[in-house]
Amino acid sequence: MRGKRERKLLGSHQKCWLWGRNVVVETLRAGKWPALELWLADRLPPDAQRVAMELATRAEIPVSVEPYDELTSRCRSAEHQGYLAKMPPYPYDDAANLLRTPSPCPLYLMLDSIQDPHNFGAIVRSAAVLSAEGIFVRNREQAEVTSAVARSSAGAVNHIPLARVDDLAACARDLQRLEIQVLGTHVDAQTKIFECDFCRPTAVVLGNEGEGIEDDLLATCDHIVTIPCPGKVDSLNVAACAGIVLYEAMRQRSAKGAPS
Amino acid sequence: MAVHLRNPHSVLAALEQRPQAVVEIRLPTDKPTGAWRQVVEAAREIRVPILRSAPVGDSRRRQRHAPANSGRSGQAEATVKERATVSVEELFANAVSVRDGCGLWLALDRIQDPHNVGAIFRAAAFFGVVGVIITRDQSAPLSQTVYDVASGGIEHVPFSSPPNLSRALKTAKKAGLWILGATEHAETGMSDVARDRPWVLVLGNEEGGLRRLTLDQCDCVCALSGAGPVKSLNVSVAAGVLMSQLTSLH
Repeated sequence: MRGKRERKLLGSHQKCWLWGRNVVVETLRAGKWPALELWLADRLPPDAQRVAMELATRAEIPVSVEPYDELTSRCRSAEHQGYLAKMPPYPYDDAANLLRTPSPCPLYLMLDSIQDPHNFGAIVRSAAVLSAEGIFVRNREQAEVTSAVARSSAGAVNHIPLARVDDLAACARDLQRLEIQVLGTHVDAQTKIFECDFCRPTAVVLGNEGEGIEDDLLATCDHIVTIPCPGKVDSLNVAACAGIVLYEAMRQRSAKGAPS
Repeated sequence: MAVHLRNPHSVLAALEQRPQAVVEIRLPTDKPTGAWRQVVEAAREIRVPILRSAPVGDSRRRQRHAPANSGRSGQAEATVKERATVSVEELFANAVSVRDGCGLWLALDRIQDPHNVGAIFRAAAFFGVVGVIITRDQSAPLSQTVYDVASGGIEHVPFSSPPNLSRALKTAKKAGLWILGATEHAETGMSDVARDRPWVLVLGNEEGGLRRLTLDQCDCVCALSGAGPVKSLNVSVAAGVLMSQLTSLH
């Protein structure tokens, strides 16, 4: 049952709208984050309109068909392509649930205060593409799953479990008790990611854009690893960093497992 | 033309690499903190004018009410002349002798999001990319956003902006380079790509990917496929992954 409190809108007025064909249809189809209302432009092709309407009707979401410009003024963006959905706050998963049914060799991400929505969205997208099991994020000083994040994740927020926790260091210790190694990332680390064994159950920790990983959490990590820098500028965007580490993990795992 | 940079790290890189291109620094305060303090120190040393921007009230209120493009909203910023492009021939000069014949170049085929272009430049500087080609048409212009997202990357990697990408790739081949196209439709994965040669890695538009004519120039295409529910990575993330893998085994 959805309580009254949960039905309040996402953050500010503008943030509660999700727009764009792909991400709106994807979100309706996945069903994980049910919209409160769906708005379609009257000039959409009848087929496209019917598909979206059927998805909404199945989920009992009210649909209104409005002039294209009305949608533009609602979401204050011209990039809605005729699709607009009013969203409640994002339904985060429960951390305990995420750990209850892991695959034989899970790969998790832990995000310590990622603040830029582009970075957060791109990381969620990479995690979904590169088959991570789930993402733990800090409760505070962390970008929330907003419309901007959903868009830059290319809809991946619908496909990967995301859990918010109060204390990431305690969460890391919980993972360690389940024999999951916790790997921190840091520019000055000695161990290169290519020398690291990702074939074990693993959680990768990524830190804030400016400050990196918080001390308490960094001290909890089993190993600290780095991406070797062959160039002149020793600083890499956190979303690129996440993709590179996750890809290396996937590469090692598929090289070791049955060649597909 | 000049750009107004707001990321102190992109300003620091400009001061270091092209000191004569930094026109002036504007600060809303006499006591800058963090990286802006380093900017001021470096700028003083080479006598770049440091100006005080118009005094303004509470910064949060100001940000909300200032027009987005005012550029004088009380944020610290530096006016920097744009970095000049080089010719395609220069970009590939002495290509095979770079890094024991294993250097890496990039070609961006109509990448339109300035955040992506900036992030690709930042990663290119990190991975020691020798040069970048950006298609002249339908690419994001190298704006303030690109410079600031690149966080200094633009200053460290030379770039060329030719009108015709396939001709530029032909020039690269004549210089002894191999062309690697990244496309999700490829059958080959990264692990099958030879590491013993110099590559130009070609990345395509966010929606359309690589054009037919671009694909025709590729010696090899590879995919970064995952088994997950979402099919493709963000192009700047994919670029970072490919660069890290191509430079890892040298």
